[in-house]
Amino acid sequence: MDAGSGRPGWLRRLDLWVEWLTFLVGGIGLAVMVLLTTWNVVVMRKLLNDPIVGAEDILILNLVILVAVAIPYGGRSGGHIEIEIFETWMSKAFARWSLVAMKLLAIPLVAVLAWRLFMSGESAREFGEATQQLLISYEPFYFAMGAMILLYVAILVADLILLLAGRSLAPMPDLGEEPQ
Amino acid sequence: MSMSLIGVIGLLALFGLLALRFPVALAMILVGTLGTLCAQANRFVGLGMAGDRAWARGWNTAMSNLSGEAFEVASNFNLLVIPMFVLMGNLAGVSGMSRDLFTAAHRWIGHFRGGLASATISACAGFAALSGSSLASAVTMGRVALPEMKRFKYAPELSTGAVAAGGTLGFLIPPSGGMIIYAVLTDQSVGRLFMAGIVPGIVLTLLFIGAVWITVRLRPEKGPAADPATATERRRSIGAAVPILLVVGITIGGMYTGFFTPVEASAVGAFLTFLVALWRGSLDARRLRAVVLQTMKATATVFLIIIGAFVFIPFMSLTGLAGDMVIFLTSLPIGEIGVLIVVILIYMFLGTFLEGIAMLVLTIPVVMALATQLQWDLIWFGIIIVIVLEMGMISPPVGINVFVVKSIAPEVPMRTIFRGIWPFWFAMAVMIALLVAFPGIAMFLPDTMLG
Repeated sequence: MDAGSGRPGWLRRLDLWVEWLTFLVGGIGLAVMVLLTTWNVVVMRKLLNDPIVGAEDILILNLVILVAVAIPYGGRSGGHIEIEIFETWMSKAFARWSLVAMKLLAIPLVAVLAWRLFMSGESAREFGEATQQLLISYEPFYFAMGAMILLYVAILVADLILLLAGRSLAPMPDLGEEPQ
Repeated sequence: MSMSLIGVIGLLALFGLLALRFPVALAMILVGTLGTLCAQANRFVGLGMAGDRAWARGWNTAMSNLSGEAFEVASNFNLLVIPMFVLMGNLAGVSGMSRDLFTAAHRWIGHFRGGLASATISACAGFAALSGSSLASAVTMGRVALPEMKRFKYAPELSTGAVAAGGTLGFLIPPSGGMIIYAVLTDQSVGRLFMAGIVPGIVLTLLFIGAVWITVRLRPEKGPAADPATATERRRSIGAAVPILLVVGITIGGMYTGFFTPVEASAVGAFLTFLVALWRGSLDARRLRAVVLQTMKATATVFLIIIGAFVFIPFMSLTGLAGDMVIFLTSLPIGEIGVLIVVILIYMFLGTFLEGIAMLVLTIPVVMALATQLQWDLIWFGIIIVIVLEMGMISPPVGINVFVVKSIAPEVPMRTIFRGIWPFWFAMAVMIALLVAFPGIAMFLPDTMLG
């Protein structure tokens, strides 16, 4: 158990895994996005008048991966907005059990979203859905998004386990950075 | 069952879920999906289809919307601006640009009464041109400016109020996260909205400085004058702020002249900010990790909520509830301005307990229908909405910027901070009145923009 943050060991391991995945995929994805767009616009289009064919396709698919990986991370880092003002009017027990009920509602909902993304991936293969210029199939990107949404389901399950064990939900430590 | 009734039940369910702390985005996805299922089935039954077939049709539509909209949002090219502008703001936050902005403003106007509070607001406006988040602006500038104002014995309500209100400029001055979401939900041009935010952003900054001036005029002890800077210090401070002006000039200027699209401007802006941070030597591995993770967190927040809105809005359209509300509002004997005032008052009320982005996505289906019916310019209306949302960020009891300032200045009681925001809150109300009276304040730049 992590005394500082109140997170049990298994949750700290999950957090570490999610954080590294997000940092690596996010770091690479953001770098690709910024560098490819800047290079394509400033050098290839404005200077050489010869834009990179398919750059837009790569950027779109890159965005899909970025969003897919970000969503479960948002689930663990407190990124998804909740309205908390009414909590002050609730008894402690009601607040806890209503949160359990909400997690029980969220888990099947997000699982259905993941399932539908996998189904859409199969449809994308069947109907040949692909990007406009490079004709890259959307199928693996639907699957990747579905897989990451499943990871979000796992995070919601982790939240539920914590609540049922009588622990408070402890999000990842704050990443706030001191400005200069 | 009437479609409107299904819509009302859906709305009640939505508010019930929100009250029980169901994430806003998931609440919209849940109500949107189940609502579409019920509304479609109801519609087909009404057309004479057998019950089981009608429900099967409804199920197919709801399920296809669910994954279709999620992937559609995640693969929307125009939404590339979100992670890239967020990245630009986060890089600016760790690069030390905020301190340079504050130092420059401090050197030039800090020696006036209330000058440090005005310098804070000016620096917030400058930082807002790099960051689309009001929270980031308040946190970043608060950490720099609050200790300095404390050193010069500023009244806590003036110093914290200036930071909380100044931070909201991040939502109005482009690049603005709120404007991007509004543009996506209302199908408006992000570039035109950004341009429309520039002059109101400058005017609101001046109104905030006016609010500080009036405050210290009435109570001079609230904002004592700081030591005057030498001419050399002033010159140096401007020199240090040049890279920021260059980044802002290239990104905003590039969009205005049509040289860059918003997506291109966001990439170039993020790249230049990265170069500035590298040049200043302020980007080590730890900070880079924080920048990436904070960008991913904000990306998660915004994209999931847009997915929720895109699942929820078709349900609202299907029920026709938005149309009914528009008919009700436009039938009131209060004229067009009266309807606008009612909308603004509703937003102000909602802003006292709802988070800005959540409020935006929850209300857009109705408000859009109303604005379209009354033929309001959606760019001009978007700027008004953004300013009203800003008011919510500093309104009691849940003004989010106030909580951020409280976290930086824990020794200042909440009621003191809330007392300090009122002059700025009224400045925002004046800004809205100016925009209603003179729409050209917002529309001048987008109407003259190229490309």
